[in-house]
Amino acid sequence: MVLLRLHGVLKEESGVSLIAVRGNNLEEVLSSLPEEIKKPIEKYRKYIIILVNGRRVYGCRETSLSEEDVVDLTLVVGGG
Amino acid sequence: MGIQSKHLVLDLEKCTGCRICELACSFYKHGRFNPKMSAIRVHYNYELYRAEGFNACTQCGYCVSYCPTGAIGVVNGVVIINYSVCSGCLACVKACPIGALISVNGRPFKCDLCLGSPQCVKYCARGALHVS
Amino acid sequence: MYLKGYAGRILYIDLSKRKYVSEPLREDTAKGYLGGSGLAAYLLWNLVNENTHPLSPENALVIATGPATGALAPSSGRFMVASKSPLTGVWGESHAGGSFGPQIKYAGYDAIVIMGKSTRPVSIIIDDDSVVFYDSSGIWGANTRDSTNHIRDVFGKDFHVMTIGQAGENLVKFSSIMVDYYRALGRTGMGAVMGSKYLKAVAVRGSKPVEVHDPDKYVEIMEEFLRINTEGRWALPAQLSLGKYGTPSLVTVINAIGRLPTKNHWTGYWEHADRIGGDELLKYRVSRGSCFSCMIMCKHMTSVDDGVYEGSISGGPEYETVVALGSNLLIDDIKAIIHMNMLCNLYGLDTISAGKVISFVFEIYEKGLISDSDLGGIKPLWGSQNAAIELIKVITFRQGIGNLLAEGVVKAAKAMGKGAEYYALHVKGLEVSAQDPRAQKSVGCTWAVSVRGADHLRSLTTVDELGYRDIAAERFGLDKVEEVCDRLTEKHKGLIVKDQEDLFAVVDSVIMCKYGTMWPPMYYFDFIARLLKPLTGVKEFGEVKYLRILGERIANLKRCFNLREGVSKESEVLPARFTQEPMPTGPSKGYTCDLEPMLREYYQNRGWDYESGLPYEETLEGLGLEYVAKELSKRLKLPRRDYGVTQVTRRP
Repeated sequence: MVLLRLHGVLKEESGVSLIAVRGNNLEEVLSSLPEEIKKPIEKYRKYIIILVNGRRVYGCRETSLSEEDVVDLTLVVGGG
Repeated sequence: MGIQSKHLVLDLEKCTGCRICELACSFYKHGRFNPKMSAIRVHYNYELYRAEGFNACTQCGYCVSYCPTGAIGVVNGVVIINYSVCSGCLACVKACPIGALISVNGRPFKCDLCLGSPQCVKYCARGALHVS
Repeated sequence: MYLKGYAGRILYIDLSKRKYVSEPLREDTAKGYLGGSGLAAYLLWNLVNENTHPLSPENALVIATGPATGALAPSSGRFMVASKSPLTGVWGESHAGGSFGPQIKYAGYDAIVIMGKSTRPVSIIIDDDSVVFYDSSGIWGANTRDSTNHIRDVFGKDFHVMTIGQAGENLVKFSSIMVDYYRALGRTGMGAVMGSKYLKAVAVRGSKPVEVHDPDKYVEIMEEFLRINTEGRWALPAQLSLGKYGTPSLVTVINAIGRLPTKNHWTGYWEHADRIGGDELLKYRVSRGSCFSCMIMCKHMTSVDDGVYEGSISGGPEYETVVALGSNLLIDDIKAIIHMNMLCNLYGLDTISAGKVISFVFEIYEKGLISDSDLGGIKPLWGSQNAAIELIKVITFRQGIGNLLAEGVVKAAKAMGKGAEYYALHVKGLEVSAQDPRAQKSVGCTWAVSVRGADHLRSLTTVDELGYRDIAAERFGLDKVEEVCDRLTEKHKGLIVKDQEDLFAVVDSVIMCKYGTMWPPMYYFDFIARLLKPLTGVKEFGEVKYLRILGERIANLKRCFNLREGVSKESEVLPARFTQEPMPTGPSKGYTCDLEPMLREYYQNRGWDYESGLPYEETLEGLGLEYVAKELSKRLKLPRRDYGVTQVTRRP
């Protein structure tokens, strides 16, 4: 199982902060998500940053995932 | 006159006190930046972070009859000052019941909705301003 | 001076003689140093030197604005103060938002310089050309809210006020100056500089305009500003993160990359980060405010309406505060953090330094390096809200252990000995900010080279924080993108830190907010050039090349200020925790920070000699800083590239 975390407005609009999902790669994981999470992800798709175990990834299909990986979805943010 | 046709309205809930409306007005009307020269003035409470009011001409037309030279008129519901006729006596400024008519460099000045598309409305990033 | 944008005058105030005079701002000074931070560096270089004690009447407090302050420009409501820091003894500066800065310009001044010392508490009330010395014995001892209210009640609600609280009065070395109630001139102890002068507050109101050289051309910049913030690619994400949640939107995301300071920076990951995240804080938000002329509008008021912290209402807390008084102390109660933020605002205390001094105490207590008898009843256990609150109070009022802690973490650790120094996390005496060099290597370089000390605001890079490839490609070239965007490699970080330091030197002089230039990266040198030229009429400001040189000049001048103070490369080191203790947990587990390669690369790009830690004379000459080289040469032997061999003698 892969752990998916949602931040900020994605968390607020989906009502979900943490969910465990199955999938061998990012695309599988994202397509298996329930509707209430899929909606805000689709809505803000252009701005979403994806982290896998804290490292940014850029390609959905290509990114393979292992057991206990953590995926974070956040809208772009930065600064200190 | 007396009919509140078009005039500026500020949504106090949305206003964050950035004062860009005042800067835009001052710039478009006077070519420089000075909130004291703006036709719209926001009353923002810095201790509580909330807008508590604003002041801008409501186009009520009360000033019209106070002008000794007849420089103030109403065009399409907007109260306009004709500066070539204005004598600078500032009687209108004293007459304005809400203090929305101000004196800038010795001349009376007020909101005229930029004669169509108000700059303050355009520059409010929060969409807190509109024309009623 | 006929340059537009600028007010054209500097107000000099002598508190000892209760006299003031306004002098013209020379055009060549404005063209050479831009304003804000650059102008402050130029003024302070000439006003103080290594013999000036920071708390003496001879120290100068410079309050500075830039040409864009008061104009309709991106996030241009900010202003800054600079002085010799009572905390570190070297370059001190601090910036704040709100609406105070523009009033200085409207009153007719680009900068205000305050020297001397009053014989009794006083506030300076500036109303256009009028300067009044207002006896403030009656409000000496008041917190910042009460003193601000008092001055506005007496002189008028349209006055904006910067004031110290009890911490500044008590010369706490990391005391702040609070502006417009909740905006903090937070770091490096600027509050103590005012306190040492018996200066309670400065209030200002102005009615003069800021002039524009070419209004027709300047309109384009205004429209671009509007477009970028309403339709541009960063507009929506900025509003949905910074705008909606404020800077605390960073907390959970920074935790996700394993960079969230936890337990005195022992690690960078906290399982309970979501309890103090931006969305948790949203529940306590009561209103939203903006700095003058900003469209991002990230400031918020929070309030606790029930429980033991009922009645705690204040602006903020910001990201740094949430971390320093939250995860850093293992405090997971956001209400307690809101309360402590309010206390620090009322007392006028830097939340970052306070948090790191407190976490220092928590850790040395855990390690048995400080005893209960030293603490006078305070039990500094991890997660203890009461202990943290007590420590904030005893530091502010210099009671018991608070008297030592008020000197800053370096002096406190030194007095305690027994290895306590290991847990005092600082560079050059300034306590570290809410980052971790093990999880983002460039932070190590930033902290080490920054003129203030462990400071994130002079050169923090965000291109590698989460990784912004297109920005990296644009600024540094496609060939470097991989490593530049990888926060876990030291490669190229010296270069990007130097580039950011030049950019921020200009940004801090225009003055614009870094939210807008750092992140979101809406503006870069080119925009600033297009803004400054029609505003001021200075042709050179319209050239990116010139602005970059300006940035280099300002950055070099400040580094030379520190050299004159005796700061050497030996002080550009990181606490051993970051270079020797591998990150124990979280997504960045196992990493340490290797400073040397980044430092070498930074020195190389700066035109400074790494071995000696000194600038090549040619570097200073090339930037019009011959006068600085001359001054330094009385104390040090600067290397020259054309000698071929670098032989230097340091002063004893």
